[in-house]
Amino acid sequence: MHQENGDIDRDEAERLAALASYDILDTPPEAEFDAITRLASQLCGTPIALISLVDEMRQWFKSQQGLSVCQTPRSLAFCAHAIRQREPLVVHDARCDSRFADNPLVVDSPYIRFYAGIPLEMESGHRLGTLCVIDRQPRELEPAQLRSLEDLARLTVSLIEQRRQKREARTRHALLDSLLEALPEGVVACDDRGELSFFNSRARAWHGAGPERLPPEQWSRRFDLFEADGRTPLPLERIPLRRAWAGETVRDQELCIRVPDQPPRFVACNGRAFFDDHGERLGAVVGMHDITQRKRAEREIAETRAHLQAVIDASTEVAIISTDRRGLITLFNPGAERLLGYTADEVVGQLTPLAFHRPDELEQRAAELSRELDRPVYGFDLFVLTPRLGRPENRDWTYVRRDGGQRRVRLVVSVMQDDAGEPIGYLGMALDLSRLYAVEEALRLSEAQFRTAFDTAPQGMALVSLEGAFIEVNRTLCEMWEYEREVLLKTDFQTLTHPDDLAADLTQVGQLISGEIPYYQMPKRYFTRTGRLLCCQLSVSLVRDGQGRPQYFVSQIQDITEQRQLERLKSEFVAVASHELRTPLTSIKGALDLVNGGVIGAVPESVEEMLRVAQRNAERLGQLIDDLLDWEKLAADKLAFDLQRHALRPLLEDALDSNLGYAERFGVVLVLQGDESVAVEVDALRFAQVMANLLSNAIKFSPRGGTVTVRYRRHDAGVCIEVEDHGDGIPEAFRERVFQHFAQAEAGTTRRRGGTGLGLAITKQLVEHMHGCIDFASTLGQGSVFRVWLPAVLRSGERLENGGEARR
Amino acid sequence: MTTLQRILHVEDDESIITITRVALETVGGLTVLSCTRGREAIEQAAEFAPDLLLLDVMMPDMDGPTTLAGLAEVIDVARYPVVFMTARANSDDHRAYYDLGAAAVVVKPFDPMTLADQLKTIWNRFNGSER
Repeated sequence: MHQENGDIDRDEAERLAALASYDILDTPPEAEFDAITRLASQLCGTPIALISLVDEMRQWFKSQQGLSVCQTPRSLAFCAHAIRQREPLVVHDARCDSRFADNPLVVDSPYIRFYAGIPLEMESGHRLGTLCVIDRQPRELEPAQLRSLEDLARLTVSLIEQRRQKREARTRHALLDSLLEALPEGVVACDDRGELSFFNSRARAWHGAGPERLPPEQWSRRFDLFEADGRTPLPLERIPLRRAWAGETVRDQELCIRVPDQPPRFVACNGRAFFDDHGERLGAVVGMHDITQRKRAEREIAETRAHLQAVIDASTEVAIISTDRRGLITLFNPGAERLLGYTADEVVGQLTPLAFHRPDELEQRAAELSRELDRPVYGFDLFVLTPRLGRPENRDWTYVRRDGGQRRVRLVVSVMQDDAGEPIGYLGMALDLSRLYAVEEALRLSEAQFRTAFDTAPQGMALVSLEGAFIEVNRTLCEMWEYEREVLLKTDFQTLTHPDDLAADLTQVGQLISGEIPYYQMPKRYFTRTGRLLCCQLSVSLVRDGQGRPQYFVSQIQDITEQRQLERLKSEFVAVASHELRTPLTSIKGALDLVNGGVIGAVPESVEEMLRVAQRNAERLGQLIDDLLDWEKLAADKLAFDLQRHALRPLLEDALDSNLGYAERFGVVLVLQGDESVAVEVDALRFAQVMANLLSNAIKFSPRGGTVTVRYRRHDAGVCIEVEDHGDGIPEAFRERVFQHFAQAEAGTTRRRGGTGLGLAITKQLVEHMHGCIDFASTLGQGSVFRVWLPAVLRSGERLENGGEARR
Repeated sequence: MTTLQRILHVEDDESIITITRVALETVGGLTVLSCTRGREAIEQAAEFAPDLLLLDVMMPDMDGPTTLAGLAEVIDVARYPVVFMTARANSDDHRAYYDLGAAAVVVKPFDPMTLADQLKTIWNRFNGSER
């Protein structure tokens, strides 16, 4: 029973909801319903007729005849009983019906005796209430009366249903109206005959007009319709509403509405015809979506894209590489192709930029970033993590080209984001630093330097074509040759060259062009404009282009006429002076030698000392003359060298022998050490001079009783000869100038030791002329070691004795 | 003849003549004929019969090489060692003197105490009697 009650309860709740959905309770009286109750009252001959709707706690009368109240409590209602069944409820005399006998409406006013109620059963099956007739007298109802009452009840149900449908239609219409007006789209419609019937507010605003009755041929003009190009008037057959009306489905047709005094509006149209339930065409509707902004944005994007593409393509000096979010390359411009030696096809969609980097640099960066962020960072993140964190990424890397070559680049990485700020890819731009700085800067510098040097050179300079014509000449050359620049530029060097020097010059030009020699120098004679003969020193180099093709000559021409004369004079002077000085020196020194040698007889001791002073200084004067002569010849490159192969040890033995006397005078022991079979290629006389210089210095600066050691040993491809003393050493401040001419340490030493200040300068030049070099090491208070390095020539089968050997 | 004894010396500088004479005669025990001009030497050479010719190179009127050519007219110079004495230390010059037939070149200033020994050595070597 409980189950049954539950079902009843649920059914009743649904019934009440259905009742509420008709929205009829507590509405004003309506004529149709009153007409029905009047008819029912007359048909049945009853004073009271009602249309009662049974609510939860009451019955409410939509229409009532013969009753002044509009509702009664449900608990008293006969109708509440009537709706429980589909069949009419007829009560002939309520006093005799136990369900109603004590009902207050029976026992009291209005004293109901007779009741006949027809349930109002709706399409949904819910019985909302009844059409009922009531009398204060007990009575019967004719069957025809009952059938008529049932007809009236069905009419009532139909009226209630219609009432609801009307209300729903009104709601839908109102909703549609407000929707159409609120829509951001323009909507236009026509009726079944194709006449314009509706423009929503947008459509009216956009066209500046409403749906006027016009022949379709005039629509285009009246409503300012153009093709999407904004210029061509839209033909009738292309008007979307006509197309829709004709049965086509219009999809995204773009057109332009160009109302005078307004900017053109681009719209995309969608539309179709609409039909009733029977398939009859009722009309057509078209919606217009404003795409002006989108078109503009699209055009701007297209323009920007074209511009960017042009920039990217033209950027052959900058490598531009973009990737997707994972690092796969999506763009690789010609600059990147050039820098890295890959083609775009080889890398786009195939590689990530990791392929271009040196593993060691990646590892180093990974370590840095991992340390900085306190989590492992590797792979493509090495490039993009920093910019993704909003920090600039600008870093120097070494790119590895496809051919394995390496390029130093500066790489700037930025994030490409969508509108929501999400990364959609990355953009890297790499500048070739080596090219950028090294080449361009060097080029710029060298051009500037060359131009300055050319213009201001104290010697004559000319750029000469391969045919011999002057391309450019500097001021000094014009002055030297007594030509105006313009005149000289129309001349060639062959014309100006002394005939005897032309062949030699042309030979060397040929060698220069063929690449046999990198440049050449020669003394050469030229005629000036006034016919004077000039002795010049010519230096010529050849400028080639990037492919090594000869372009032009750079000639430097120095007037050495005067220099030649001066050199000759100087040379003669030195020769004469040396002879003229030596001759009296020979006598002075000879006389002193003889006297001091005791040949003339004994002299007093006091005189003897003075004579020895004179003798020493005569020797010194002789050495000075020798040194000056040597120096002059070395400077003029006139000293001949006869380089021959010699065993080293005999040369050193001779050198020690020759300096024994000098060593004895200073009480110094000479020691020779060396245990290898070594030969050298030297001029024996000059080598002796070198050794004499080094030995005399070492002896001079040794303490009395000291030792000077000459040591030799093989060293790599050469021989090292050391001359070591244990003297005071060379003062720090003097070390740099040891090999300079006229260089000597402080005056005190000079006076004590003597010397011309040319010895080591000459020694160095002699050694270098024999393809060797010389250096020294010195410790203050401990002594010095001078080292001569000479190229070795091994003499097979020759062994020199081991160990050292002292000589006195 | 087993030792060097007679030296014909041609030198225009009087001081050097003096030094050389003392060096050779007093120190070395040799006999010296000193001439201040080449012509003088040519005139006296045959009569003096020298063992060695000691010639200064740079002299007025007639220099050493010219004097040597002149001497070749009057004596058989090939029989005597010819020693040039020069103030020029240039080895290129020295080579030229050797080419003229010099047996040795003595550079000024020389050591008067050893000059005689130097010439004796040259003479011995020239005559193939050196040890």
